[in-house]
Amino acid sequence: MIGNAVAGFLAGGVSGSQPPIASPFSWYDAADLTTISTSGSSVTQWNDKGTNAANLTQATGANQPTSGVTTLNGKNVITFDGADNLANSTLSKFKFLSDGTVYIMGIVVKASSSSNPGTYNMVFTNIRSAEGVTGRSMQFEDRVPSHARVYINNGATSVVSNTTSNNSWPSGGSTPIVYTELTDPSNGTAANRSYVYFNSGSAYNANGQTGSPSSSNGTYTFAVGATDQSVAGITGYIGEILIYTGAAATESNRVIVRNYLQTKWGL
Amino acid sequence: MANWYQWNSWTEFNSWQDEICIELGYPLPAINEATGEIDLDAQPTVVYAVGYEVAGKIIAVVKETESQELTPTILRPSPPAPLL
Repeated sequence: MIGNAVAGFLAGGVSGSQPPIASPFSWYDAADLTTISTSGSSVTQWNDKGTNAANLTQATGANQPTSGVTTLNGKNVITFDGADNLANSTLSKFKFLSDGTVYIMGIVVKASSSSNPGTYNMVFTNIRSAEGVTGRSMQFEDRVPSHARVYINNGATSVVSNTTSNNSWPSGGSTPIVYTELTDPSNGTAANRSYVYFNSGSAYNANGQTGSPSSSNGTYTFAVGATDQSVAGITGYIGEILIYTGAAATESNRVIVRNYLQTKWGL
Repeated sequence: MANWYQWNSWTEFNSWQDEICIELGYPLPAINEATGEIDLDAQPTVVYAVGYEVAGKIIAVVKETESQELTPTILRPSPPAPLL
């Protein structure tokens, strides 16, 4: 597995035309313009190049992010204004986020244009508010200063709530970063359920929640950039989201994904 | 940028929405960003805004460029998630 991963990285990972490890589960790549459809510069669809084939769409003009406006390291990114989202309403496509599946994830994201104390901003989510719902969110939090939060709920209790230290999110969210995580919601040790990393930094694994993952679909539509109702959005951009599940979801592969994203996006 | 605005009724909101959709030439086709060609399999732009009924008002997100003469609101369709 690792041999193939390294071969893939050397063969095509730097250019970004090939994934760093074969067969990603989800792969949204804003640098690949063939995957993006627009009305003007407003994004109507962002296709998933992974095996999950969960394309994200937005039919409502006022909620559409933009493409072709901003670049990072010469590559296109998709820009969100705080009320934009791209979504997929097939709930079963995103059950893996909260059903106990082990996964690794890498995201190139600029989460905020300025410090905005008191707010929380969804990089992606299939929950709206935290209680009584099944699903997970990945949040840039500014309610306490500049940290990330991974939150998974089983419909009744919390499975994971991993909040990184205050001011741990680099530059208060105002610069692009490579965010990676290793998530194992069924792990018997609470602290081993969620590891979060900013760029090449050390792990944050502050989870103390012990609820059991739900086998049900998430309660709400999965959305990137804000909730599916356009609440709690990021004011920034996303370049790429890359997710691997199951046997590929290892710490060594997380590092490969991080290196691939850092090289590709100049971070 | 965008913000949330409110209307007093669905009738008011729908009337505003009809006008803005005509003004913007909706529906708009989806164009593949690489080829510049219409992609009939991709999501077109269908409506301008989605309304939610909250506290007796209809609220919706509207971009700054289309928000003239609208009433801003602090209402939201779902409450914020608490910190745990």
